[in-house]
Amino acid sequence: MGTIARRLAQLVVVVILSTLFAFALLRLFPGDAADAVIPYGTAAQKAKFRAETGLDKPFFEQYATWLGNLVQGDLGKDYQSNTPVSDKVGAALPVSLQLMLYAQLIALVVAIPLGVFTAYRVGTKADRAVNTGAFALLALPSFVLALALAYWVGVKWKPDLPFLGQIPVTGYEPGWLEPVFGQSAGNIGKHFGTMLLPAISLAAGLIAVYMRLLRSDMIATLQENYITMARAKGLSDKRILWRHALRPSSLTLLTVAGLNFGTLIGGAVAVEVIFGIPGIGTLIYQAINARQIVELQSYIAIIAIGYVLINFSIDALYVVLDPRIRRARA
Amino acid sequence: MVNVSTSPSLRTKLVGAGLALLSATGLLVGIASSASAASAPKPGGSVVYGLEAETGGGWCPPTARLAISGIEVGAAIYDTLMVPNSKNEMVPYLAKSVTPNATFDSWKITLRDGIKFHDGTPLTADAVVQNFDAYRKSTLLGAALKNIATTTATGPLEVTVTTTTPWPQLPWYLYIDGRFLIEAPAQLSASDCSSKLIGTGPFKLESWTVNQSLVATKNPDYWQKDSKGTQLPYLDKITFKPIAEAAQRVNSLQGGAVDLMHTSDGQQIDALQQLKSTLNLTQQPNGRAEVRYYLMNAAKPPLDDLNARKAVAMAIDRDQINQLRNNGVHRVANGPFDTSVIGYLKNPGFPQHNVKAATKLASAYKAAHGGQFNVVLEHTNDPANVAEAELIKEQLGKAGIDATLKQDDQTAFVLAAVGGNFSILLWRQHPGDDPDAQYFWWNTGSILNFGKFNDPTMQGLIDQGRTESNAAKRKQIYEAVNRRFASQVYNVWAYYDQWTVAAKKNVVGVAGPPLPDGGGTPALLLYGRHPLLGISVNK
Repeated sequence: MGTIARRLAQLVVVVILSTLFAFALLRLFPGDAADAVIPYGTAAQKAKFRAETGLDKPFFEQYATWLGNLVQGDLGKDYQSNTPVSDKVGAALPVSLQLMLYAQLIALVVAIPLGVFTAYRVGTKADRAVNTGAFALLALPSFVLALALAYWVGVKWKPDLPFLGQIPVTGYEPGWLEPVFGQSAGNIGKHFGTMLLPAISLAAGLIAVYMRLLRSDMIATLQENYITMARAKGLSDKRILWRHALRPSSLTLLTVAGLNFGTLIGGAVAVEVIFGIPGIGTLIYQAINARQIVELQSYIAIIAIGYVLINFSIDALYVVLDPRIRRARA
Repeated sequence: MVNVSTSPSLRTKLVGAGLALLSATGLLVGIASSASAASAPKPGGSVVYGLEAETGGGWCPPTARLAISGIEVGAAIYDTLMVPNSKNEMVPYLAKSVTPNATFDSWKITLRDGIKFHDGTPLTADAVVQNFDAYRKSTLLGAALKNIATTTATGPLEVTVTTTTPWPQLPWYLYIDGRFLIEAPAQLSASDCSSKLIGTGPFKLESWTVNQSLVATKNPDYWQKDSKGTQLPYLDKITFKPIAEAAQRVNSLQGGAVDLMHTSDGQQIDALQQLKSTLNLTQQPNGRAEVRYYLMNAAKPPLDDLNARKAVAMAIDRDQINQLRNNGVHRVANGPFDTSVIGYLKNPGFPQHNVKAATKLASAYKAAHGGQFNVVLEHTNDPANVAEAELIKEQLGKAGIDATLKQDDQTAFVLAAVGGNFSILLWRQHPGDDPDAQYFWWNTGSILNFGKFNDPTMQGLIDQGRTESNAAKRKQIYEAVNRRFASQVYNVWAYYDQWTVAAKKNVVGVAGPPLPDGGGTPALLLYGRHPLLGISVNK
């Protein structure tokens, strides 16, 4: 209970600090929302707009108003179309969450076996080859891979896969999470088809990071006395690696995977734009271009809240994964 | 006298029939590849259209800022009072006739009878007046319509527009590059006006998921039929998908994710031309294209000096830019008007590329200004613009002009133009409308005169052009405007930026059917816009 209260307090502090910082930073942009919405307007028209939207108020008053509205679930409105930002978020959030989830799943499914394998075969040619490949993936920006995949897979190869159908170059089909947000679901096979290339583009860099992290931790774990004991007892390498070494070695991996949920939202901007995925990344891109300051602040707050909540969940998972932590906390 | 009444004379009918025949056989100039259009269009089917951007701000007149993507969606949902035809004339569309008085300061707009908005309400004079009111409040279109004094419903289907000066070219301002969309009063008064799209157009809004798709379905009660009596539009459904990245739009077409797409990017047009055996390409014909140019700030040093502007113009090798950046697919421009626009001159006297002369002028400027001749090349963050700016910087450097690059997002870029805080902008403007449609971009003191030139000679000319109705005199006036631009070098004209719409082989009819009442054929891809009601899918 104490942990939950502490985490909630942390959440409040993180949200206030991150949004306050963003609030200040966004005001350093050249021009303001009035310039963006009515660039050809007269000074009087712009002043009227600022008065109507509260942009003429002192900095802290604006911030307090916005934060008060946020707490009540009011994320503000798009200045130009007058659309509530919460409507936009409601449409985009499930898209981005699914994309992030798929990218993480692909990254973990590929990285964990590779990490275990390279730790087990440390120093061998196979280890060096996998490591070199990982560095190459790390050096490849996601948007470059995205464009390459779009061309080679979507245009040249055009695979028509069972269940997924033809892999499209761009576009999005709603998936299984949209109904949770009150929207209709799409064709689930098509959904996975539209998400395949964007998810791979985002996962590639993560694979390298996760694989390297797990490899390092596994190498250290495999030096532990209890592993030597397990070997002495005659347990098979497979059982030692997967049952006894992997769990305690995965704490760093889990932490970084959690942290990456936040990073993925930022990293997904280019990939979402390239593949025409209508997620939070696309909204951020458009909000920056249109100087939608209130909208941007709301996105930053959502990312910050999500970031803290996910890391809170991962912290709780430590207890499950490592009995030593469970005992220490008890 | 301008007479744009639509009562068709025998001659008009014959001309209309001739044009329709030409259209049907695919022989019209500019339709590069539409051989398959010769087969009779089949009603039904649906297409997905890849657009270059989402229109996030929506379609509410006071705040809407429509670029080509918004204009194209507008062509689906709405109609305009007038439309341009391929002969550079404005012809009535939703209007049955648009007739001026003898002095061109009072215009009677008579609407077609029996047209209904998608919500079932009739198109009336009151509805049109409400549209005028809304557009006149808009900051951009309001500036364009400033010369309108009053708009009054003088009958159930008749609107009278009075103007502060004689205005023979008012019909161009009843179109404004496809932006003067007639919207239903229910939309104009709605709190969700930007997304509640209700027009009289060939398609009705079914759904709009921002950044994903805008789906429009056939308006079964649309007021137009084709020459064989078949109800227009042919398609049952059209879906617009924003795909911001130009290369991805081409990929999407090739990969089958979209059925047609548009672009004005020279390199992508070149790529599409390589694929023309597998696609239907509709290209904007030469004659009325928009101009790519380098807009100079004539109100700030160093470019407030005519010789400095000449040095920049002569240092820039526009042929090289067109070859390297557009693979030579566009044509080099020497003035603001393309070849079919009155005022066009093959050689208006614009300074040609001459590094030696540019260096001499730059040296003279430096000698008089403490050894400095620095300019800032400002451009949007599109990769093609970045590359073009880098090339210009290199060319200016060869003449001893120091250029630095400044990259802006679209908003900051427009703000730099509005505020006059720039030296050179990589700009694109002036589609091939009547030159009077450019008035507010060149009017002294106008916030939209971005180059900030204050030139009484130029002002006198565009004022004369606005009020003059004699075609021969107007030609002389706008030729003088062209020469004035050349002699004063307010801008460096680069190339005519032409649009291409690429479609799958079985998607035809991008050029659209003939205009009603013998109005001729629609202007093809003027400002990139094209009608959607004639598109059909061959099974």
